[in-house]
Amino acid sequence: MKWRWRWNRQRSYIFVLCATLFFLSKYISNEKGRIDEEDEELSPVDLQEEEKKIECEPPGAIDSKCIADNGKPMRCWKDEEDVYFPASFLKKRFDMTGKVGKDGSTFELFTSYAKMRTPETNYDPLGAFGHFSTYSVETRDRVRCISAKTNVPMSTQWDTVPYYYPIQIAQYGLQHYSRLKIENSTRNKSEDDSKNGVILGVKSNEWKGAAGMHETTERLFFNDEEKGKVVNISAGYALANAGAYVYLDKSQNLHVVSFDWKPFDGNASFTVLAKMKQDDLLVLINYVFSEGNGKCVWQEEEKSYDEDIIVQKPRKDGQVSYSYSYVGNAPFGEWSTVTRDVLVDVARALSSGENRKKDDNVVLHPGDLRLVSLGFRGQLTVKQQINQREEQHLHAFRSAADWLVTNQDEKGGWAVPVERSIADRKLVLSPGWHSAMAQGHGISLLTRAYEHLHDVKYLFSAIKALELFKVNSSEGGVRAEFFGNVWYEEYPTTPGSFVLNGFLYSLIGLYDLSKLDVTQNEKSKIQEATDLYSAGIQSLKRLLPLYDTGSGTIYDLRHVFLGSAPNLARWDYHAVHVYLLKWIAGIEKDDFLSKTADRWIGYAYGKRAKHN
Amino acid sequence: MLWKKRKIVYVFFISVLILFLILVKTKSRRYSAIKWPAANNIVIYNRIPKTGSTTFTNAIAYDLYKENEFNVLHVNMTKNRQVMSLPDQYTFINNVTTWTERLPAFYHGHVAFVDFQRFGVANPIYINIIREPLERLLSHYYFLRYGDNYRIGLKRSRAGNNETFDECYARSGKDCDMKQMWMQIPYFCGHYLFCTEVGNPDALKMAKQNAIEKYLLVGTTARMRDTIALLEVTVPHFFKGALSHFDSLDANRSHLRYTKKKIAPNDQTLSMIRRNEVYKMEREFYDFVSDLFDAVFKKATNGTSKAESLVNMPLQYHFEKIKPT
Repeated sequence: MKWRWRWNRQRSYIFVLCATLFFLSKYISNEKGRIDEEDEELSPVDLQEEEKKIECEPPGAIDSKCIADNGKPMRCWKDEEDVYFPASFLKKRFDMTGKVGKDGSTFELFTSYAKMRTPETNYDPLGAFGHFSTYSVETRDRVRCISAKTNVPMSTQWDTVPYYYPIQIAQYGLQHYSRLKIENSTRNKSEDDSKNGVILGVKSNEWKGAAGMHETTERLFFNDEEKGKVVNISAGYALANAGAYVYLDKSQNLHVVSFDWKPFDGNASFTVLAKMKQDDLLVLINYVFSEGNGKCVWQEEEKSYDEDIIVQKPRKDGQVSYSYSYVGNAPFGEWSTVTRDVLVDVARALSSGENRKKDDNVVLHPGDLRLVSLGFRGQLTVKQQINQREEQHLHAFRSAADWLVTNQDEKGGWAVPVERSIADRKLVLSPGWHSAMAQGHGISLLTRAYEHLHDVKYLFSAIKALELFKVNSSEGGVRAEFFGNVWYEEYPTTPGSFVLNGFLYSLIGLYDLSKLDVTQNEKSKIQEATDLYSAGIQSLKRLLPLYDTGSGTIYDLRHVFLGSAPNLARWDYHAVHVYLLKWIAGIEKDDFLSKTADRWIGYAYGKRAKHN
Repeated sequence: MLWKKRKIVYVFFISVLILFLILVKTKSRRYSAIKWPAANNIVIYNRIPKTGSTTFTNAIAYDLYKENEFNVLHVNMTKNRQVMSLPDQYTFINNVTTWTERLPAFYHGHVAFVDFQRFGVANPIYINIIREPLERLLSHYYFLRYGDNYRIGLKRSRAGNNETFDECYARSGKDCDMKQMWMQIPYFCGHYLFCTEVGNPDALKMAKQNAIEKYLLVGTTARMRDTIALLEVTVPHFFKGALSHFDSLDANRSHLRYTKKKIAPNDQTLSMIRRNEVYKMEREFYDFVSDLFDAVFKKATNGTSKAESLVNMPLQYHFEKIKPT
């Protein structure tokens, strides 16, 4: 027993010693590790030194400081002969533009960013209208679409819901008329008209459509007494259905499609499939008998599989689908003609997005697009003659003139349906206002329509448009007076605004009507036009100097009755003033007007009137 | 104590110790079979037909298995059906997880996604590549007619039929029916009933969900090289050296099984297809996966989008504030 206890005791001593050491070490290591992480310093961020700019000094000139009109000091240069101010200062102070010239080393400064132009030929009241052949109304970002209902442009300039703006419609008509006139005069008369376009769909086998694919598409060909070869189509009306279709010509310049059809009911529709050069995007333009919530053109929505409504963004190898409202354009059960410029329709559709900004405006040129096919859905009959052409000038011109005739109110004017506020709401025109510029443009278009299309309705409409020139602004007309001188108001505000360019356009309209060759019945009305014109010219000669600032022109005379600063014309409007004044000077053969215009041209090149 | 007695005591304790150690070791091995820590030692590529899968499989598996020391196995589905019965799924999972001699392993086959978790087991690494649905269908359509350059001379099921895709579509033929388009979604959707229902929106939802949750990486045929590069750095114990090997392949081997003749559809056919519901769904799935891959790749290459930079890309994070020191 004794021996055992001794043996065990040694072991137990060793065991207790180990245990103690073990616990001690643990305790010590715990004590050390109590640093709070948050208190540690973070290494400071290295501040980057600003790079020193390497300077190039002009030879002989020294760095200097200069001040203009007690403003902020600027960095300038000075040499023996002169002092050199920075171009950025000049641009801001004097409202100039500048950039390095074509040779790469000369810096050029310009007073006007707009080029001054003058009429090139003598004005013919029944010929091209000024420089409007160079206009492109349909590519303006404020033009939402060319309506499929009326074939004239609709505007979104002062309202998000598209509306008809008579001035824009008249300009659209005048633009296409001017192009028509110029093309007719330059084109060789003996040229074959068919060179201008192709005809498709004449052969029955050109008409395709899958039998048995979802819907049954039927095509029945027969000969109509009046229309010749026609095809009766019966296809499912859902837009996803391709229906019965014809392949179109791939030529880049043939982007106008025209055909005769007879839709049976509102389910009938047709679609043009086009392919964009950029990104190979396929674009479907559908023409449907649906109102589309008052929109002129809208993008077809899709439902994603999470049941959200999504709208396809144009992306590479994608396909987008837009629809134009065709309601009211084609009577059911009757024949009518369709004419659409697909290039314009696609560009306007792509620019019609909800959140589109001004820079997102899409402008397409021939070559950007290729037509693929024309498809039909629902129940309808189509003449087996699909025309594909380069342009639709005559159609646009006629549509604009017809719109004017149809939409002229009892007062003889074309009322603007949206409110217009000017000068920070100091001058406001409620919806329904008339405009001398609309009247003038309208008359210019209608006189040409009367002469070209030989229908008296245009003449009567033009004559009726004279009435508002005799009614004062306060009574809904366009007549105003400036210190006893008559004026025809572009914006008939109270007090008057006396916009110059609108007045000049109205004079040209009156002139166009006064030169029209008419029968005895209308001669008295033509005389009225002449009288109104003469009175206007007299006012113009008297009041013109008021628009001259000595270094530019003023847009209007609102400042006289508002007591505000003058509304100086920006340079592109100054160019309009110059062109219009030269135009009228040519008509009147007036030296004073012509010399004034010359002086105004000088202002655009930095010339100024003398001071005392 | 007498020496004899002490010897007996010592022997007794040592033998107990040895027995104890043996027990522990065997126990851990059995645990490994249950815990399934080797799940990341298995890669499954449930390849989709006509997406470049042969080229891909050869480039990353059959050409690398010797050097990287893994096994490659092909799952051949009877009659080329891609869906397994539930019992078959069990045996498949059981085989894959317990075949320890064949670890690490790369399995490939034309089989829809099999979810190991339904059987109480962790999923292995799933990878895949997909192709733009219309391109894939066109490739299949013309493959059946003209064959490919891989097994030349083998008469395919539609040999002799010279109808173009356009002509077939214009007359609503069966071979170009949009039902044939419904392929990639069911592969990812898996083994649910609605997966094989053409145009079922739940299948699309499930496919997207699985592609995000269950797959390590889904690349595209168009970006096969980028996919391989990304695999090399996310599963290096299998695919180390895959990118440089792929780059070294000659033209023949980097594009195996080239369908001999393909005629692109015209714009009208394209337009009609793009309006079709089935195409739109398959395309939505493709765009979804493609955008996802693009984002992952951009992030991995730190914005350069160059595959070469992946292999030597420095880590965008590091460890610090380590305690105890």
